[in-house]
Amino acid sequence: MPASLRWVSGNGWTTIRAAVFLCVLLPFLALAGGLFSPPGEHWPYVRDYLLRAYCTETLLVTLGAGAFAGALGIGLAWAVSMHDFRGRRFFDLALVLPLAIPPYIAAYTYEGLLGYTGVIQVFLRRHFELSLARLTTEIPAQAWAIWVFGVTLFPYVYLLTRAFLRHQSAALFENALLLGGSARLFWRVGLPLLWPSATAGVILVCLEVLNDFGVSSHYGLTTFTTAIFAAWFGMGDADTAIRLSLILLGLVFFTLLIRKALHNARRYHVVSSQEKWLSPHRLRGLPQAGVILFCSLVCLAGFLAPLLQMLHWLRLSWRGAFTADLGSALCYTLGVSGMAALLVMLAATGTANANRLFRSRLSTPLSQGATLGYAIPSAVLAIGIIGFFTGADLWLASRFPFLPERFLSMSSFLLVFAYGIRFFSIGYQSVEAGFAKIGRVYAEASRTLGRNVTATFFRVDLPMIRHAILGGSALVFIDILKELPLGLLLRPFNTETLGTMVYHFANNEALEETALPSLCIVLSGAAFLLLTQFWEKGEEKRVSGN
Amino acid sequence: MQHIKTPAGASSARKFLAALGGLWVLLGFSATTPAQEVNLYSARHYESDKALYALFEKETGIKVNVVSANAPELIERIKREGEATSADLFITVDGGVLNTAKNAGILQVIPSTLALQNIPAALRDRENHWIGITTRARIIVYSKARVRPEQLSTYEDLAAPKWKGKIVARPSSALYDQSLLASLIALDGEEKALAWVKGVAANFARPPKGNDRSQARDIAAGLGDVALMNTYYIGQMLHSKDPEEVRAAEEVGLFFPNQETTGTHRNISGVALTKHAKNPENAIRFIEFLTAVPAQERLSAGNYEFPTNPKARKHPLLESWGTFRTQNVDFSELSKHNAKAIRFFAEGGWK
Repeated sequence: MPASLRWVSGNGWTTIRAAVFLCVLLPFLALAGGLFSPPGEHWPYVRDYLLRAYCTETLLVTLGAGAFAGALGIGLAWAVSMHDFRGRRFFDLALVLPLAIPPYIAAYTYEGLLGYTGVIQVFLRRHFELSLARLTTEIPAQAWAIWVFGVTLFPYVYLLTRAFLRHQSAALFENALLLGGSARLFWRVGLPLLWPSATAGVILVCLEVLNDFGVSSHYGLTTFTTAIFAAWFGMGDADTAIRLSLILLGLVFFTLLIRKALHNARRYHVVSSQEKWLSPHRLRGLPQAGVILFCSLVCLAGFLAPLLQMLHWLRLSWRGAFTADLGSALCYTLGVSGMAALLVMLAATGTANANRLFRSRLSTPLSQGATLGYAIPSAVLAIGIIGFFTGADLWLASRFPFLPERFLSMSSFLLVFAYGIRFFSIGYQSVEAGFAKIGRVYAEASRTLGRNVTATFFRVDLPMIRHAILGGSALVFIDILKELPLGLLLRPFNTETLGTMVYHFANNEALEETALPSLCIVLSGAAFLLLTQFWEKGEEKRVSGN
Repeated sequence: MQHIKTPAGASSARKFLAALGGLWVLLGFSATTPAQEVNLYSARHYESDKALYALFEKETGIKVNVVSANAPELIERIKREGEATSADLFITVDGGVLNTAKNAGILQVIPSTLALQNIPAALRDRENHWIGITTRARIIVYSKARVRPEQLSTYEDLAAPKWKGKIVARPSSALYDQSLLASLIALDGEEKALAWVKGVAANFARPPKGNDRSQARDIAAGLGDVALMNTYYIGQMLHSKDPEEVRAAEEVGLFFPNQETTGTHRNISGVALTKHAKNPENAIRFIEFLTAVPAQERLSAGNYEFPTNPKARKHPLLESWGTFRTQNVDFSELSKHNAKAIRFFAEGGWK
């Protein structure tokens, strides 16, 4: 083996895995102290009066959003994958687009669209003397939040379910399809088979909701995240905040356990190197119209309506909106997101490969532990990271006086690192799924032929999981574009991310000014999403052409 | 000469890692800054503030660097950074928060007689750990169509049964209402303050929702008749780029409560010098700049707030509201009673 390769081969892979785990562990250490310190001054009060409310509200919104997003995602994936209808190829792409809209921006646009001064109410008032104000108020805040989360996050379910239907199901469904109609097929065969991939998507949705701050604070919900902010920053009681974080963490662990249990309960595996494509069922007449209407409404609710509202606001506020600040925020956001996505995919690929090849008693806890960054509330994560890197800077300054002052903690490194921890899990799951699909057979063949692990990875594995890596990096990239609290807390001097710009305008209650930065987020996210969809299409053509 | 053959994939991986390292260094060194600078941690995110920073840079050649986030997060950050902090100045809204920062031991006395002369003693910290730059009042807004101003009197009166089903409010997570309640705790005592929360909550027309401006919109929509609102939001709505917002704002009237009793609740934005400031001279020049008449008038004109320098002219809209009596509550009381206020809101059913 060439000397230059030795450092990443063999145990290099397990070193990557351990390093990733340690990075994710850092902010947890900041929390762990809270376990042993005496309860905060306000804890008894919070426990007696508020805890129940936090639990019920958090569970209600999380489960509600999960169920709603699940129903939409499964329904749409089934409709689009199993049927052929007019506009199918368009919807196939368009239904992914809501993922480009951050839920908090969707919440602002829905307020702008349906509020008293919004286009719809003004129109109805002017021309028909109809007032909807009472009606929109009767809808409880929780329902609004569930709606917003559902229509913007369902693509997580849709994508995973659709992938399963495309890649694994032809053999399973075609015989069943011969025996009966599509509707019966869905309930008897489809749903049970789709269950594992759909729940994986639903759990992603639930985790997003558990960690949300923007939507909950906009609607005034008392969920765990807002409660942590209130206890820590409002009451100044860090110990109570940490206790609440630990409960939230417990909830997340519980969710992950459910996923594990569901995954283990899967009794079948379809392993085949030959991918066979499902021939979709041609729809006509009323069923076709119904499916088109369903798809259009979801596209409207999840993407088009918020987009149109942004354009309406832009029409009002475009003068003076195209500033140098916006330009630099755009460049900065894209740069940092790209960089963090890259880091995540490197770490994720390294960890997943180590896990696949070097199984030990430690491998499961290490890799599962590393995915928990997704669970830490962003505010808590940020504070933990600042504490750590300030210390690291002092140490660096004493050793390397030539470095600029506060080399780490005043640079974008902090933000990139935090994004990396937060979204490692998303990237890891994609890569792990990619590896699971190809199994170990090819790698073992290559090893038998004399290539070492690292060479095998680059020559054999990487080309085969390329598309899982691309897909994963897109998801991570878009997630970072949409992220808010970490950007608020960790960006260095004189920098704004697009998200923080939007937040500042919304916080000043000048919603119409959010239009341009919001559009930048949404359009760059959408462009990236479409790009990955085309890559995937290209990949499929290549596979099916063989 | 024979080349040592390395797997193609591995060499591209090495190039990739090198590029990654290069990017990191680039991002890292972009943090280095010129010699003459002042670093602000600011919780005020108004466009008018940005224009002021640019003006200061132009006048003095001192670069203004800004980190903006919510105030409590910034305080926590300055605390954690300790002696290494890069913050020279801390700027925020709410006297309670300014006092929390002072109690956290992250501030120092502002050693500028000029700045102290600019601003009256009532609008700065007793030990001069912070100086007020603008104020705003939290007032009652009412439907011009359904309420006569004579029907209104005090904050306390909003708990009376005559307002049943007529009050719209925002969730109590808003600092504005927490500080108002803290001031009522200071003035009326805990028992009455808790009873006030319960009374007002019993009068809600709908569950608490939205921000200050949505309360005005909901009054215009006829969902309720009265609400609490900060003065500058009225200014912003009346000057909004969205004509529908202007129309909604014109539907509501302004009432400065408690004129016969304890005075209208007023809150303050302030600037403070951090204990471990690295550029104290520049920071002091910035404070003197902010409290002088030209900057004060720009602040009032840009964001419809009241200037703290009595020599500065107010925005014409604020001028048209006339003078009013304000609460005589020390701003330190607001932070002292904040945690209690949060608990009272929860106990009293004001979500």
